Amino acid sequence: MTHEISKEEEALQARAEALEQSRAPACSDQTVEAYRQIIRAAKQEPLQHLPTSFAQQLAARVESYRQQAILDWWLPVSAIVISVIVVLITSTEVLVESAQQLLESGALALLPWRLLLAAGAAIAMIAATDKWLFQFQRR
Amino acid sequence: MTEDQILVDEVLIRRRGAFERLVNAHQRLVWHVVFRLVQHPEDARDLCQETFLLVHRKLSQYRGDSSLSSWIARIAFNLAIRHLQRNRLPIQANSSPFEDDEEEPLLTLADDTDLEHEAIEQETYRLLIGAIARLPPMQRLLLGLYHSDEMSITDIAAMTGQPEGTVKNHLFRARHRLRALLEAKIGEVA
Repeated sequence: MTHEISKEEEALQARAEALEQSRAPACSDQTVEAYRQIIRAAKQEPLQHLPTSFAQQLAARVESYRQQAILDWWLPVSAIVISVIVVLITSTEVLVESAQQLLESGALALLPWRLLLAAGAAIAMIAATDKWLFQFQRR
Repeated sequence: MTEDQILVDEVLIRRRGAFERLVNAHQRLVWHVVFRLVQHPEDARDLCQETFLLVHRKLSQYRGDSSLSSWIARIAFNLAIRHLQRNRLPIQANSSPFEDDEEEPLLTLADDTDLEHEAIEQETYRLLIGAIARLPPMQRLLLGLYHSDEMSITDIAAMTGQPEGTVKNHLFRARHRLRALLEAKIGEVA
């Protein structure tokens, strides 16, 4: 019985919805009209809104976060680079002497240059493949 | 490539003004989802901000399986539900949409015998707006998304993570409940 009533109610609601969509004039069925009033009230948007500048403010905030993140990355990197430069400048003589000794002793020739080159190429290929796969998945 | 994907790509490559366009395009729906659930303007505003910041952070994970608006609305929905749960607020509670101690427009109007039909309609409308505002958050949200934002049942189901049948049932029960209460009020007046 309850099920039948529900079906009947469903049909009334569907009829009210259809009449509302077609903007039909009021009908004689009071229940359908009550549902139409409910549907009209449900169409009401919230009275409060987001500020008109919400998107602009949020975009500015995101941009400032991004700049802060860049700064957070560059500050330590810059500090390291500057330190290396300072070390290089202050220890040039020692480094040049060490390099000369290496060249004279022929130790550089003993390094596995081909292996180092292959390892470098492999690392570059992995990075490129990873980037390509990321782009491919996004599509 | 769809318009959504073009916009997403533009945001990801940080094209000037792209994120602002994305927010502009979806802020209305996000506000409706969040505000209808939370019903507190300041909390809703904060949650909208949180939603878009999360969207910005997770945008590279958008695969285009659903529309961008559904994807964003789902994020907003999840954040708002989490907010309600954190604050131990009811999501599907069965409180009465008509509060007993509140002044009832129809009862006030009942003293005046010369009321025009339009005035009664307006008061009924106001009564219903108040009743909808006091529906359980989930019913209020679904009613608004379906009738006001004209979202399809499929999209609402995808957004809320509920089966389509459950969404339909919530809608049916919300309207039925409002009608029963409305008729009870009108009956009291008569």
